Amino acid sequence: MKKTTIISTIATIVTALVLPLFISGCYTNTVDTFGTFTVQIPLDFTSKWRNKSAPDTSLDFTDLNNYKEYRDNKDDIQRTIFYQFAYWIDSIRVPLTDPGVDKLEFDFVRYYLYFEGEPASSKHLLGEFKKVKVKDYFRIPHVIAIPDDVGKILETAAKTRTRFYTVAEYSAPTSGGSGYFPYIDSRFDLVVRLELKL
Amino acid sequence: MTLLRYMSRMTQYVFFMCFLFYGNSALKAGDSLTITKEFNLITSANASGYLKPLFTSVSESFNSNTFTVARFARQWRLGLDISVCGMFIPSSQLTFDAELPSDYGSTGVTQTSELRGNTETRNGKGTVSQPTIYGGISNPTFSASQTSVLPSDPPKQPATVTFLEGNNTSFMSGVPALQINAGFPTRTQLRLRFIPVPVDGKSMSYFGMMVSQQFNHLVGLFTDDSLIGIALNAGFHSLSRSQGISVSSFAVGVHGSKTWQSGLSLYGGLQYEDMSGTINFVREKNATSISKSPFEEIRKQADLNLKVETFTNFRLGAGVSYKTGIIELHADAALASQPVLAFGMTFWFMNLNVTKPNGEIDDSYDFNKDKQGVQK
Repeated sequence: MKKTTIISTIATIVTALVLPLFISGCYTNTVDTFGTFTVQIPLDFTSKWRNKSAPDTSLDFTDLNNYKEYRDNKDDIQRTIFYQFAYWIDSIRVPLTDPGVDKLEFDFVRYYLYFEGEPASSKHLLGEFKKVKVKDYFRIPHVIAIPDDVGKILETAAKTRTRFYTVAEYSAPTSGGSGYFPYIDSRFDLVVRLELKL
Repeated sequence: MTLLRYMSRMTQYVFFMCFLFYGNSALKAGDSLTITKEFNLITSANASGYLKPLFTSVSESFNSNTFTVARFARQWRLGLDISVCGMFIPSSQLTFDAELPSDYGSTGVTQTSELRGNTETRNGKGTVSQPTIYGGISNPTFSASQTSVLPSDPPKQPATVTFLEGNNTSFMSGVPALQINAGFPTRTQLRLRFIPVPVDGKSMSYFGMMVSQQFNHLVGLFTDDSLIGIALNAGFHSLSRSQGISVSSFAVGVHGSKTWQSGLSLYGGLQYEDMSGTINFVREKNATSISKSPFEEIRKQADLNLKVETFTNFRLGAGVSYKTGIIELHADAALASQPVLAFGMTFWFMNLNVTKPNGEIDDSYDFNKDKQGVQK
């Protein structure tokens, strides 16, 4: 009888102490886990190249605040992570005397990003497309994951800055011709991951 | 009271989180449940798949802690049970087949690309694997419309699509249970749960009723051993709100137990359970950005209608119970689509014996007359 009483007492004390702690621990973890929530939003750009000769660059400006998804969640954003982007040529014209679009090829097309207030020389390489045959890129998206090291730099900068430039750099065409293009409209879709605090 | 208040708060949190896309902060006042912009990236079908593992967790937590021992004294009894549970999330429930916009795969309309690791896939159609709420990072599908006509409000449609991400969850705490336990001289045990939760200006209520009926003595099983019991159990749970939420769950099963004089019992059971229903949200109407979605449902701002489904139908469980004084401690584990651990304690604060017409206590069915330490 005495043994039962001791066991009962110990069990009761252990239960009284451990149960709330266990419950607290489990639910604290659950609350922490679901304390943030990450959504992805696509930012769409159209780089407009007008009356230039490759090699050259085109420069576009954007402000994350122009995107409603970003603006609406701005106060809750803990991290802005630059994730993936895709590039494709949406529209292009070549001079009549140059090789046709189906034969046109660039050695590379590079995309850079730098934030407003930073020097252009500090631009960060988001990705490079090599041996760009225009016919393979004409309204066909090609995707690149933004390198982790670049992503971390951009993430840090995005904490305080929302306005940035994207730079499209075209090499000279390897397919010959004058290198002059009346226009190149290229699409650049950048997906950012927004970590929101709930 | 601190523990009860804490559990009440956690219950409220879990309810909010599970059914209302993470709670009050994501909702706007009004009669209908309104889904706000940050969750306006998902269609009804994808939301159902995305949340299916979470609904499974909720269903399993509803149907956990619904029975312990199967041998009931022939008494009127009343108790209060406080129980918790948690589910292990299997890898198979970390992803689901998300629907793609209907135009994807029609290369005359759009060309699409998706990058996973180093592999780029083009022009997928139908569905694509994406994380559930317990999964990881999702993968966007980039879309290049083939039209030459620039819309007044770019991008061209169908545009690039993104999906919600998961939260990398391997263990999910279930909804805590605070329940009234009542015993009847018919060797019946009834458990009742009721929690009203104010949601979006209207009360959402959770009601659960579980009943167990010992029957082995009626069919002549273990009649010579008063410490073994077999019982049938059934449960019904309802979660409702006058507008927007109508979810119900049921369970039926059989369980048995063996008790020793020390007060220790082993129990186990097999249960069939399910949960179904609908949760309806109205999309926020003034979000101009939704017109950019490649999903027609989102562009048209159609209501978000969640179909509630779960992975779990069968569970096989076993546990241990220890009764001392007015306290019964219980813990069990169960195999189900999400394996469950559960434990809790019951305070039996009232036992009333049945009396015969002549005033004597009717203990003809009371095994406690011969054995000590069981459910008295």
